[in-house]
Amino acid sequence: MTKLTHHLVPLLFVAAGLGLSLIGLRPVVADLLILSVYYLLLAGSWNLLAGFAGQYSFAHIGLATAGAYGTAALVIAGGLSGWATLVIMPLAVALLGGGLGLVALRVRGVQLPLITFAFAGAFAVFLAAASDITNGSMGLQLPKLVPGFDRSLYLVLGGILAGLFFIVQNWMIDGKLGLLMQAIRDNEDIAHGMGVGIFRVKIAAFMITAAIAGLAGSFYANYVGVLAPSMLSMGEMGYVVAMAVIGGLGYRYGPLIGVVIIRSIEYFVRGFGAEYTLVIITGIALLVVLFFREGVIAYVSRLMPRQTARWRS
Amino acid sequence: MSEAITIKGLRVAYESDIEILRGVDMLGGANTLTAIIGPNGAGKSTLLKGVAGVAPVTGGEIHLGGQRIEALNAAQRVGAGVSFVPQEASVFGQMTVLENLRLGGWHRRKDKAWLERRIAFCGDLFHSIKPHLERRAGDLSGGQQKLVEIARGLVGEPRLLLLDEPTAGLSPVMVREVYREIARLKESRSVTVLLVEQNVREALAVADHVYVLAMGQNDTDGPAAEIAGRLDGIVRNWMSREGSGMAS
Ligand SMILES: Nc1ncnc2c1ncn2[C@@H]1O[C@H](COP(=O)(O)OP(=O)(O)OP(=O)(O)O)[C@@H](O)[C@H]1O
Ligand SMILES: [Mg+2]
Repeated sequence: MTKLTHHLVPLLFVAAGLGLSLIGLRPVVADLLILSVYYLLLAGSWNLLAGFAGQYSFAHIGLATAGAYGTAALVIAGGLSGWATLVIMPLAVALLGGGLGLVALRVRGVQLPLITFAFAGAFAVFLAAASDITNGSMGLQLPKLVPGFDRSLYLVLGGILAGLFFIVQNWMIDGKLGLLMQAIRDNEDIAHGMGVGIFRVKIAAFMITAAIAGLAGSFYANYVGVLAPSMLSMGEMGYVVAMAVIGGLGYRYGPLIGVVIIRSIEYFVRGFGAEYTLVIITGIALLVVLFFREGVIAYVSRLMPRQTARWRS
Repeated sequence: MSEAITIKGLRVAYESDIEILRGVDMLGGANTLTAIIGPNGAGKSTLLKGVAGVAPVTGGEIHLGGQRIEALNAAQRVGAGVSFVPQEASVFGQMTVLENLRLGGWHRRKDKAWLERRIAFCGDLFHSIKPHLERRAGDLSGGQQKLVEIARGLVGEPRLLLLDEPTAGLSPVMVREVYREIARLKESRSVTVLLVEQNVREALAVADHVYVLAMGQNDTDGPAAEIAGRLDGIVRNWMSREGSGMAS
């Protein structure tokens, strides 16, 4: 794929959002697509952080949840419009991400996954326990962006947000930051020895990917309208990781493929009940790890002719 | 522009009371290749790390051309023209060879035209990596990866290149491949090289001058041909000290 194709992808998503909103999808399909954007933003930004920068943080879903609850707070207590939260929350969550980045600078190897895992767990417990603020497991309710149950607006918005994600991703991967993130991922000490500013690169990677997670959370809150602490289960985090890994971690379009695969499976097996969905997806994730080490996209691109084989970076 | 390296009475101690290098002297002429050989644990890697600024220097002087560098930190030494290719594998495995090369000149990225020129030049340098510039560095053979590391070490136009056992762990075929390219690099007379090597024959074949280290000190030195002539005696000397090759 050439640079031009990478730049056309955002346009494609915006156009798709517009088009689908016009043809009037069945509600169940529209819901599936709109929430897929939430997962695409999460799996995509986690891929940038883990797949490209090598920072395996498991607090990502926690950041999205913070974005969602922050949105609820701003709307319910602050009286702001949902539209404003779509701008404010990414910035606020970016600061949280910067804090995580500071932690990441001080730890090595398996410590980051463990610490972020613990953070997310503690946050989930807090959300359930602080029931005077969060309403506990009963959840919080917030209004839609526009009155009524108009899904077409969210299809358009989803297309725009997905497009925005790919613009940011192109800018990162093809630019200086992407080069340095990958150098740190592959060999931090050597990169440091070559004059790469580890501090700035890590903090930037954490803040930008956190902003995208915050955007995802805010979008989720504004669309779903009901927030419960279960949004931040480790199962959800596993889901996001599975999407990135099944599609292809460290590949530009890996998470997109992963989201399409997993959300389609979910759609077709939904009759069996949620517990089976998880089992089936775990099974598929295992198969992918066993047979296509680097994800589906790496396998497919290897089957294709030489010039198109370089999907990654 | 390459410079001579002069090392005087260099001392290195990783822990305060255990000196690994106990006063090493060395001279590497501008644009020459100086090989450093010696038994395991003699302090060869430590010497290169001391020069690169990644091991603590506790005494002595290091002159690169007219500049004293022993007090500079590692990044400053890169800026002063020191390039270190460590013993262990160090390519950015999932990045392309070209991306690896680009990072080799990262400290001088402001000079864009120069950097592009250097990347093109160093990508062209070694026959066996030239066809693979767009491939992932981690997918190349061990010997080719080592050549990528060396080429990357040259992108910044260093005045001094430090190579620590570039053929450690490589098959004999790859050892020959790497040494063929090191020989070509030396013939170009464009950079001063300090080369640490266990494969004594290969090192002697390519070096101008050879130093022998033992127990953290100079053992002997001389022109490569001369050292080759009395190599048997030198190695016998190591054997007699085997097990006590380390400084203590
Ligand atoms: N980071 C370190 N901390 C403490 N001691 C070290 C460290 N690195 C090396 N040493 C010690 O310094 C001594 C010299 O090690 P060095 O790696 O310089 O030897 P060498 O001549 O390169 O040996 P080899 O041929 O096996 O690579 C050894 O006794 C080693 O244990
Ligand atoms: Mg060594």
